[in-house]
This record gives sequence, C-alpha cells and structure tokens, in this order.
Amino acid sequence: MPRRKLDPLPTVAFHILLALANDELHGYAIMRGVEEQTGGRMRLGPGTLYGSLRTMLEAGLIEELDDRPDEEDSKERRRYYRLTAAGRKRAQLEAEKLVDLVRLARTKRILRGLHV
Amino acid sequence: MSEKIYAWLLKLYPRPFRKEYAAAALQLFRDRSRVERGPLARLRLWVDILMDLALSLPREHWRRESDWTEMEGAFHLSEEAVCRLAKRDLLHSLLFSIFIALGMTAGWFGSANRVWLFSVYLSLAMIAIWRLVWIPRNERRWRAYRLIVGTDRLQQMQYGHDVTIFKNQIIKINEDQYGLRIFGLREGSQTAITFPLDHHRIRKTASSIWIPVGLAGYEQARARIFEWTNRIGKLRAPWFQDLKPVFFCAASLLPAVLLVHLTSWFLIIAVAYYGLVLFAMGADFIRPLRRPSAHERRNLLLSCCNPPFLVLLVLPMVRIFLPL
Repeated sequence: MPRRKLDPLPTVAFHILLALANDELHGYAIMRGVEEQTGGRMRLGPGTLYGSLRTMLEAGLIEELDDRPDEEDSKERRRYYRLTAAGRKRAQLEAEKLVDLVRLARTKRILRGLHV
Repeated sequence: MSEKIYAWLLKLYPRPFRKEYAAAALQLFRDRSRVERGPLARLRLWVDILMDLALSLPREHWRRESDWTEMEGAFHLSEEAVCRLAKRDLLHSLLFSIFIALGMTAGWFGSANRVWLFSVYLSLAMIAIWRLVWIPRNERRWRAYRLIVGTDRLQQMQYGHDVTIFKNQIIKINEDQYGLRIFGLREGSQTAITFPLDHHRIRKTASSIWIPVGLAGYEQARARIFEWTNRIGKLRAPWFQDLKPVFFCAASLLPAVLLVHLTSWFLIIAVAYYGLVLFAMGADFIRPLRRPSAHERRNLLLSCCNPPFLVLLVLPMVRIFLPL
C-alpha cells in the first residue's frame, strides 16, 4: 500500500492551508499570509512554497484556479490556489489535534492561564 | 540583475519542477524584490532565497521522476506513429550495432572467415540492448488512449476498452505534441466513469487521472514487424538459407523488445547471445552446403536444445502473453 502523503501534515502545509482558509491567493500572497500569521517567523521561499503547493495539489488539499480573480494580475504569471473541502477538513483535523495537545499540556500544568 | 541571477539559480531545479513552477517562482521573487527595498531588506531576501535553495533543491531532486509523469495523464500516439518510431529505432540500432559489432568481433576473434557470422549475433544482442534502454519510454507510449470529442462527453475507444468521461467532470485538458492530457477530474466522479477495466489499472489522485488502457496498437505493430521479417525471410540468396532459422528466432523476439521489462531483457539477451553462438557453432555455417551426417544432426539438435536457448524461446512468450 502506498505511503500516504502529508501524513503527518508538515507545519508549512498547515500554515498554507490556514492562509488559504478565507481567500483564493497566489504564491506571493500565500507567502505574505504565512509570514503574517506566524509573526514573521516563517518566510517561505519559492522552492519550498511551490514544492509544498505541488504536494498539496496532488493530495487534493488545494486546487488551482483556472480563472484569475484579479484582472490586473492577469498579465503576470500568477497562479491562484484555493482550499478544497478535503483541505478544509484536513486543516480542521490538524487544528483539533493541536487543541488536544494544548489541553494535555494544561492538564499537565505545563501551560497555564490560556484558554482553548 | 538580481532577477537574472535568480532565473539562473532556478535552472538548478529538476526539469519538471522548472517547467511547472519556474515562471511562478520568478514572479514571487519579482514581487518580493519590488516590496523589499534597501540594502538590509535585500540582504534578507537573498539569505532567504539561498536558504530556500539549500532546503528545497535536494528535496525536488529526490522526488522520483515517476511522481511527475503520473501527473501528466496518458499519452496518445497512433498506431502509425508507433510503427514509424519502431521502424526508425530499429534501423538506427541495426546500423549502429552492425558497425560496432564488426569491429568488436574482428578484434576479439581475429578470425576473418567467422567475423561476419559472429557480427550478426553480436549485432542482434546489441540491438536488443539498445532497445532495452528505451523500454520505459516505449511502455509509456503503448499505454495510450484516444479521446474523441463528442457532443456532451469525451469518449475513449481503444481496442475494446471504453472509457467515458463527462465533460463537466474535467477541469482542464491540455493538448501538446503528445496528444491530450486530462487534468483535474473532480472529486466523487468515479461513478460517472464507465470502464470495463480492472480497478487496479486506474490510478487517480484528486488532481489528475492516469488511465493505462492496455497495449493499444501493440497487436498491429507486432503484425507489422512479422510482416517485415517475413519479407526478409523470402530472400533466396544461398548465403541466407543457413541463417534463416537464426534470423527468424531473433525476429520473433523483436516485438517483445518493445515491452519486456528491463531485468528480464538482460537475462534474455545473455541467453540469446549464448544460445545463438552455440547454435551457430553446432551448425558450422562456414562449411559448404551439404546434407549433414547423423553425428552432425545430433550435435545440431543438442546445440538447439541447450537450456539457455530454450529459455530464450520461452521467456519472451511468457512475458508477451501474461497480462500486463
């Protein structure tokens, strides 16, 4: 049986899924989104970004748009991506997994004063 | 200037990656350099780029090529095109092999009256080796299907295997020099695909479909190859009469060369060469034509029945007639 790709979900992929959660974005916008949501700690380079996007496309977590949402950009070679239902589900599962971890950390008194 | 440097650096990525994402990666770099101005920002940009290269280059090179080819969908190549390719490849390999085999045999054996004979055997072996180098590509060619654009659907009709894919389930169809490639069959559309094929032959990911529909055109090409060999076999030249069995034996292998797995071919070639040489030595072709004695006939029969020679006959047949 072939090994399931993106299992476990890498951090980069999870951040890309989160960046795409509310909008259809192109590569640079995804990169900025990830940078903002991590407070500048994660800046994805083109190789990492498109390598991850490709893996996620194959796994069906995201899909590429044929029509470009931003008309001004249509002269430039931008590729837009959006989350699929499977991608949203996967992000949700990953988030729930993290919530469980945080709960566990709280029960072990490692994490205090934060509510999940 | 920095854009040119990055464009050059992109060439370090494997070809499939460049083909698919180089333009987008360059656009991303352009966007970043447009926003991140000033010496410090530029320095940070280049540090990011170099770190990204260091991390992503090995990963992209490590990806197997098949990962990319699976995404490409299926190829379409007509029977005529396949025959043309087979003919051209065979001609090239024949000429190439004969010249090298003549030189090698003359060098190895140094016996002028046997050089031509061993050259024939060596040529056949070299043709087969030449062909096996191309087997992975040929296999991909054979696994082809033809899409006919109909009124409300795209139908594939190929030698008894039908696949019907409704247009509204296809996101994108690309056409290039190889034919049509289907991308993005939507999720949950399996029920709409009707096919009398085994399920294990269909490999599907959410973004692509790859349908090997069997050996389209193989039977026709095999018939053509036998037609060529039969035509040659009708030659009435005296020097050819003794070579006929060897020639037909070798010719029977030719269609298999288009398909047989690489490892099997190494084995086949080894035993083929060994068997043919034994056969030739047993028959002793350089003698004038005459009726062989009982002793010679027995030797000839023994040389034909040597195990490698039998394996040579059986293996390709097994490979051809087993389901692929």
